Amino acid sequence: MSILHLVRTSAYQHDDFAQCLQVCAPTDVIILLDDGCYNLSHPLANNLSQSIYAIEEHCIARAVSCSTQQQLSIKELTPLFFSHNSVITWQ
Amino acid sequence: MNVQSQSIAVLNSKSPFATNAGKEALDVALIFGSFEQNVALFFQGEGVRQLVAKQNAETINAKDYLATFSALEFYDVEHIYVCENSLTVRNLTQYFHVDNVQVLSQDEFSATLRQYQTIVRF
Repeated sequence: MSILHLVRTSAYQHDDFAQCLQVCAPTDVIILLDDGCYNLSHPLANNLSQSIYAIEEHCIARAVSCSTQQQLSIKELTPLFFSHNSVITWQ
Repeated sequence: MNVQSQSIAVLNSKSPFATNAGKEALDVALIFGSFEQNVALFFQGEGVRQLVAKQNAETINAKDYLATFSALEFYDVEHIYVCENSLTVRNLTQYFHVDNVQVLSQDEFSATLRQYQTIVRF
């Protein structure tokens, strides 16, 4: 039973990311989209047990640096919807 | 709790009067309820303020959608969950304007939420 979490806001401005982590299980996957990309540098993103990825295009647009291991293209996102039981959008 | 295959969790995260999110979430819950779907309401973060008792929307000329919460029982929406941690952080008591609210620890809240097939967040 795993959930795909789509985080679309910056933790520097909103607490959506913090609330996401409150319900997030170790087997869940977190995707950072739009302003959510800014969370890569936020202390909350340190030492997470979950897999966390950021949308490559959205990072480039914002000049947010992202390791290649954490990058995900929009095309690669689609299959993840089918490999998880449900999706929560945090925005 | 045995959750059937079609189950919907409505996750509330916004305070009651700054946006329409709370009213829209309640409308969604009532619509699913009227179609006899298994729907539950969850409150987390600023969303817990929607449950605080003794609020008065009239003084700010806002529509009192909170009163509509009392309709939930007639639509068989029986499960209302609130995150205890969110209450504690805000210094809020467990004094609500709705009956049958279940206060859950952070882990219980997460475990209960993920039992639902579909989760919509407002």
